[in-house]
Amino acid sequence: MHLFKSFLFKLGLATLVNLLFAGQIVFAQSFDFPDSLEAELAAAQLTKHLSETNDSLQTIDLLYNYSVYLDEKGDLEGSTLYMEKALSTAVAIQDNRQIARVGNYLATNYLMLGQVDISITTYNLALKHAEQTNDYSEIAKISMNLAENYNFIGDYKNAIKFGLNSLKIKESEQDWERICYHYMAMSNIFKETGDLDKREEYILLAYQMKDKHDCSVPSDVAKIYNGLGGVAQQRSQYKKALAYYDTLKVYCEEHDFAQGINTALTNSALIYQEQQNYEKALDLILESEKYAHETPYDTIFADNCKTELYRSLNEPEKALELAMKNFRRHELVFYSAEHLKCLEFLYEINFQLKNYQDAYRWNDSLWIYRDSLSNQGVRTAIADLEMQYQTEKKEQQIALLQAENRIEQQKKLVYIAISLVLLLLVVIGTLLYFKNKRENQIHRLELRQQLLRSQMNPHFLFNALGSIQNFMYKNETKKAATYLGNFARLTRSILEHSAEEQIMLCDEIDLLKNYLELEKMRAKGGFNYRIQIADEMDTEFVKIPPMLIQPFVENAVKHGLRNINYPGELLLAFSETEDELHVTVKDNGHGIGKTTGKKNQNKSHRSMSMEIFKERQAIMLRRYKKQIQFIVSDLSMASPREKGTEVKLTIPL
Amino acid sequence: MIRTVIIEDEIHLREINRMLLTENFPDVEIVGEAGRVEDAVELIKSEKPQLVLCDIELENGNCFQVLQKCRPYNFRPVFITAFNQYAIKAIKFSAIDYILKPVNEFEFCDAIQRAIDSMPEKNSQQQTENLLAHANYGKANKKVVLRTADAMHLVDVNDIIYCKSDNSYTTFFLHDKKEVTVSKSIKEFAELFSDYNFLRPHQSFLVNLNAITKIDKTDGGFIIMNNGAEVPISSRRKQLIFEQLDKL
Repeated sequence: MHLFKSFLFKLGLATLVNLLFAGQIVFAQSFDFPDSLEAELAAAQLTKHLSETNDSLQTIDLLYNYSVYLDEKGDLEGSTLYMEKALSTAVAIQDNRQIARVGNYLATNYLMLGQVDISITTYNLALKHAEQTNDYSEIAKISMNLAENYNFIGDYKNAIKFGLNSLKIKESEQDWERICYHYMAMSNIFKETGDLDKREEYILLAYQMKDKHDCSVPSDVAKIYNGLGGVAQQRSQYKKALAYYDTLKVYCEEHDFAQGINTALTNSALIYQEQQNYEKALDLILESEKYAHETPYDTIFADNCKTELYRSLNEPEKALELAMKNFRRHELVFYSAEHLKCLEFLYEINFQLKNYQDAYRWNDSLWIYRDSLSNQGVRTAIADLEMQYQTEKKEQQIALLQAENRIEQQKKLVYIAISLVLLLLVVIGTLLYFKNKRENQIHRLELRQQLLRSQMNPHFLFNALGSIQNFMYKNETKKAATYLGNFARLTRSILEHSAEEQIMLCDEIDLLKNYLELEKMRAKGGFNYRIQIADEMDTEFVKIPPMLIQPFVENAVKHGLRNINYPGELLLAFSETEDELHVTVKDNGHGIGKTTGKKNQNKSHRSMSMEIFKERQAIMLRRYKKQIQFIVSDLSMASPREKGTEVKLTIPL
Repeated sequence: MIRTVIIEDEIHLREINRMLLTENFPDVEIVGEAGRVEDAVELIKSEKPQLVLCDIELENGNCFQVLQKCRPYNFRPVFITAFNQYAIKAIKFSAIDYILKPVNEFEFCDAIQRAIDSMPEKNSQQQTENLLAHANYGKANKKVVLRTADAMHLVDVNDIIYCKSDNSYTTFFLHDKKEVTVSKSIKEFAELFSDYNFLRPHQSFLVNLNAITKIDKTDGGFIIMNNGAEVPISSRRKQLIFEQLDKL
């Protein structure tokens, strides 16, 4: 944005200078010099005329006219040389009017040559002498030119002072000749001071006067449109601005005013550039070149514009070519801003093209050139900028430090937050753990009670006590004592194991043995039992829930082997596969078919026994996700020669 | 005659004990009975019995309180208990005889007979001290009494490298290259040492975890003990054993 602004400023300057120049021609030129004469002819004629006359005034006129002729031919230095001669002649005869007239023209030339100091001195001289003449129009004119000069060097205080002085004279003398030019000059000063409202105010004053007789020349009107466009542009009313520039272009075309067309196109191009429509901008710049005055500044400015646009259009090679072309122009040294711009382009484009060595060299040149801008104003500006830069840098550093501090604090906060969260998690975890543990304990306790309840079959308990009582009645003391001992042993092991959820299979087998011994003593006629354990089976390693098999053994004894008239046999067989224990409880009794036939009789006990088993089965499933299965079959179903019941129990390990 | 006292707080059970003793052991002379701790101490000190039949739970305390005050132990104790796993463990550690209530005549006679038989060994002092140490300090006491047919060994549990079972006999392999064979099943010792870092890699072996040098996982798996012995790992237990060993 800053880059663009400086462009705008320079464009403004370009227009200003050009239009000023154009205006001045109208002002200064009062003598028609034949166009057809060749330069040599004119010079010879001048020499001849000069030798023929002794009249200083005539000499001054001759020199003045020849100088203007040279100026129009583009030989600014030659023009200046002859104008200087004219001025010294005028000063020699102390003719105020001539000094004012010649001084005004010469000062403008100096300005064009970039010799601002001399230009100002010369304007001041001209103004001083003009004021002696009471030629108010001349005074106002010189005063305004001086104002513009001050404006040019950035001395706005003096610019406004001399500008207002000029307008005051014009208005008080009711001198409306080219008042529009003056208003526009004033508006230009406010343009440079950045006072947009004042600028617009003077443009509008000029606009109101433009159609009145003698108040303007076409170049002034062109300036008005350009100014209106500029104001709109600055207010970002781009459509409006483009419309004004278009009006300017049409107006200039009507009046065959090439410089105006050029300005209109260039300024439109800058708007398109700002809107990043680089193609359109480039088209306009290229078109504008057709109307260019071919002044070195215009060419250099246009080429810098094009360079920028080609860069934006991603054609760095073309941009580089243009920049190099611009750099080779010897006039470039007069326009410091464009010079700087050109060097910047050369550096940046080379860098972009990865010509690092060249880029390095250009960067060097750039810095040397920047340093060489020894103008006091520039120095001050640089110093100011430097100061501003340093301040900004410090502020940035402070901001950076603050940011770092903030980040540190944030980091700390984050650490603290993380620690807190972790702590919280640990606390929650611990609480959950203990809660879980407690729940588990409660659950375990419940389970244990359930197991105990299911193990201590009350029927068995009381039946056993009843058996002891029976032995006592029959006076079979020894039997009673043995039975009691066995019963006690069984109860003890049940109690011992009740604390455990799982016991070793060997312990369970001992328990079953114990139980069978008891039942054997009690049963009428007794029965035989066998316990088969598969070879290689590790009964200490296999663990099962206690008293899980007992209900099936109890069923076999109480129902299968009851009331039979032949020796009862009971087989208890254990075998294992990878993850299952297989238990077979087989008797040679009534068989399940007949047993179920008598079902009603023994209903209460059977259901009790099975209910207990079912309950444990459910607990096992819930707790270990293991399903204990059993298959009951009547052996007579398979083979008529056999009888009895077989239960095959599968316990997952 | 074998001077015997019965310490039992339940009158009926005293009678059963007395009856069983007089019926089965004509050499036994019952010289006194007591049911309270202080009476028991008094009785033992005054009568100097050779055999003490002692219930663990007494009217106002327990038998260990009695024993505490009866040093030196010139008598052989036989304990009777209804249900006290803790005390039973202490008793087993010291290889002292015990009887469970309600008494089974056969078991009763067996226990008394063994006590009488071991009287000439005169190691009642050591055994009883070990019992008290166990009863008082639990796991902190690391001594176990191993009684063989002809001798009694007081062995530190840490000195056991491993045990090998041979049906109802168990052989202990100790650090000092001694081997002790006792007539008890390895299962009993496995239960007894359940709190002492022992591992059962095989039905016939019980190893001390602290005495393991390395685990050879090849060829079915072996545990190599620090005396160079190789203990097999049964295929059934392999997975569980490896898991347990990996945790160490």
